[in-house]
Amino acid sequence: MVFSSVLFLSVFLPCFLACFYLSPQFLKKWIIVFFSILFYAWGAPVFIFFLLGSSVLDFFISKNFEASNPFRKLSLFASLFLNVGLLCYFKYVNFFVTNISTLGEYFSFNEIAFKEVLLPIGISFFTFQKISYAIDVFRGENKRLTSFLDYLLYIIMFPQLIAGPIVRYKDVHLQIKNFSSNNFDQKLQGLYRFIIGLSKKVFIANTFALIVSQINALGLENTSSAEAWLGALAYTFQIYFDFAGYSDMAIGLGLMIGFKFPENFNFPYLSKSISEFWKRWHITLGSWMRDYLYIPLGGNKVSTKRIYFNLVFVFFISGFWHGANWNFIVWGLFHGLFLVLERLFLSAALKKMPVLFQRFYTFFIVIIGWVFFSMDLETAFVFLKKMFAFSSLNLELSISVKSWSLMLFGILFSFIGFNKKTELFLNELPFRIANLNTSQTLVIFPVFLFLLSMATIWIMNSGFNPFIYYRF
Amino acid sequence: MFFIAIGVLFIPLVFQYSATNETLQPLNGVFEKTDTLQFSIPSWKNKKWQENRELLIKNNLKIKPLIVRIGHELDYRLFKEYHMADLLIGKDGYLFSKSWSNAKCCANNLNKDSLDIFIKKLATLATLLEKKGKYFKVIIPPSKEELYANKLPLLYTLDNENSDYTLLKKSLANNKIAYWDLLSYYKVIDDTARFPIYSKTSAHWTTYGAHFTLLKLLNDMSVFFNGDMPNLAVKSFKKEKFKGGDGDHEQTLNLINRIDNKDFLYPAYKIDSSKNKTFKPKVITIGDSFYWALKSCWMLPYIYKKDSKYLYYFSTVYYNNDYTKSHSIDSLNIVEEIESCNAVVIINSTHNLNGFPYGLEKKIDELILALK
Repeated sequence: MVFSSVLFLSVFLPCFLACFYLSPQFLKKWIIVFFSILFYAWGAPVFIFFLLGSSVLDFFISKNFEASNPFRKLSLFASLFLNVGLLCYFKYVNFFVTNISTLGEYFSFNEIAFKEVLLPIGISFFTFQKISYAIDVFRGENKRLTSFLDYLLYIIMFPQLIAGPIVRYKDVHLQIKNFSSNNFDQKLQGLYRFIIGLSKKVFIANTFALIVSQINALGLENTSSAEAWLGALAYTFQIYFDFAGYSDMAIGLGLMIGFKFPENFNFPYLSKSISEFWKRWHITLGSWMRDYLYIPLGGNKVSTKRIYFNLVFVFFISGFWHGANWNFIVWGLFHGLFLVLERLFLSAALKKMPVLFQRFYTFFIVIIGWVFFSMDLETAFVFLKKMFAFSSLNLELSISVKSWSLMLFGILFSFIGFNKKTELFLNELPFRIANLNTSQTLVIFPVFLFLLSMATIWIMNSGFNPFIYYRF
Repeated sequence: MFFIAIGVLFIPLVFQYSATNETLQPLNGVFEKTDTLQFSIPSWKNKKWQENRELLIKNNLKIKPLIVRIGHELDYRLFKEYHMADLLIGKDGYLFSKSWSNAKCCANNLNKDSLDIFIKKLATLATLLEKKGKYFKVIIPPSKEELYANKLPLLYTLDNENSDYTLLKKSLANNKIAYWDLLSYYKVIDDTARFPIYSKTSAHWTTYGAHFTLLKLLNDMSVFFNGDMPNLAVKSFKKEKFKGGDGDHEQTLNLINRIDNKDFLYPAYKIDSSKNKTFKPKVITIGDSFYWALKSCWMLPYIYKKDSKYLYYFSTVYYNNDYTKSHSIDSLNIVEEIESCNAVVIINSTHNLNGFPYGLEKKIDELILALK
């Protein structure tokens, strides 16, 4: 079940919110967990038992993390082995077996026969949260949760369960422990945030997705250079509004039920370097990688060569985390390479250039990166060849006025936070709107109500509602 | 405020359990139908049951017609965008069929050689029918795309000397077949008519527009049969908002408000079947959807013989006295039907000739042989 579906908006969400707000305080956590189980079981009916079972196991293992426990290291190892092992099995076993089999065939071995393993939805996200919990508690940064209900709440809370933001334990442990009705005063802000996210997804991401699908339908052979560029650009904006929209909805839902999740995006296409891009794009993944991978590898406190290796390694893992396919690995390494190049000389050179050029450079690299991200490796190289052949500038797509208007709005919105002041203003917008006086609210509220109604109308009217990050 | 918004989310559910099926005007056109899948552990495990539920909720919500109409209305009014495959928005709010516009200006569907072969045979058939005292006529009503070519988008206004319509006319004339090309006839009517003969928002002529051809055809037939046929005369005209096919494009757009708000004229007829006018001919009509407006006066059962038939695209058979049931052409002995009939009428509009003559070419040799 995705947030931008009729089932979620017209049945699940209203029923959940009604039960949540009408239930007494002591039941509210139960309500969240119950609905989260329903939410996950709807899309992954068998894996819900796996998720619940592994959570029970994890919770009991984590009891041994306390400093006085002689088995704490062993327990941490067991917890990491369990979670990383399950992630590797479900997400990567198909990839490894297929590649070994292909390699074997090259050396005249028989093809390996195996039954494809199905990927549980959101495994990449909840595994990272489980690891975050284990390491934070092991390090003593935060106390472990004594109630299994609280632990389950942290792991399977539905707003962030299947596509993030990746909430580190340190970000929410106090909110879970001190959960009370006082936390609900931001519910209107949450609602506004949810509607903004839904609008990003339905009006803008889906419009760009339509262009992408039209270009894909042309077939690689019939795609002109202009269409290839349009396709790459459309995907660049689609993935941003798709994922940022989903994150906004998740953050909004969190606020509605009293949780403040970390931000996930901050105008990433305004970045002046790739290293800045990763501070603005999927921020929670970047933070997770920094805290639980880059710093344990030595961070910046190692030799320069080792730093470069660490960067490339972290981005290799980041790419592989996104998907078990070579194109994701190349995408990760591609970004890692530019991070190293920036550290070597590019950053210094770029700083001498106008800001506009720095932004153009970053945006250009990011677009090329998305080509690898969006298609298999072989196709990606042919597609890039098409883009840079500049052979034909024909655009044979029929794009309606509505689509052009929405795309222009999307592009404008992506680049609107051009200075710190505007950026801050826009990031605080939902908060500011939620705290307007009564007469101002009477003006602004119908606008949001209109957006919510329109988004619902669009979803009901259209069968086209893809969601990229759902498959991770 | 927060709870008002949550209340808005509840509207579809409230509607589902409070609205009756008649509350909202149902949608026109063909829509995806979702059958209910019974719950079972395997269907739940493989997510088929959940997918079915999602589809059922999406497609069967009682509020859906209203939601769809609001969405379509906004798209149409704000962006001139519509959710219909074969549609073109022309000037001054005129709606056209894209494929018929294309057939008018740019695309050819008919093959000249095979058309000539068929029309030559049709000429032989026409001669044989006439020899046997049977009425035969080819009627070509103008499509809206031809009659209101000046309302088409610029791209479609080009003249095409090799259009299907031109090819057909030339071939009919070369083979001396009696045919009516009604384009100039309707141009004159259009100049003087105070009510739409072709609606701005339909694919076909209006009931009022078809009425002129109906009278023309019956008069011509009556003269052929020495005035023995029952006579159809207009009793009165009634002004109404469009009904039935007079706004078929518009109805399929599923909007909330009407695009064409004009009054339409609906004739009421009377039949003169006095003593000397009792001959009801058995008429076999072959044609396209322009026939439906002729039929919509509901008078043909009083004029044509009971077992007259309409062969829609020479594929589906409708009986003169019952249009609710249809039969396949395969169930009909076409040779027997033509042999026993008094009149054969072919009616096909100018730009709907894709597929013409729809399979008649396979039967025509057999018909000629039988009539010889």
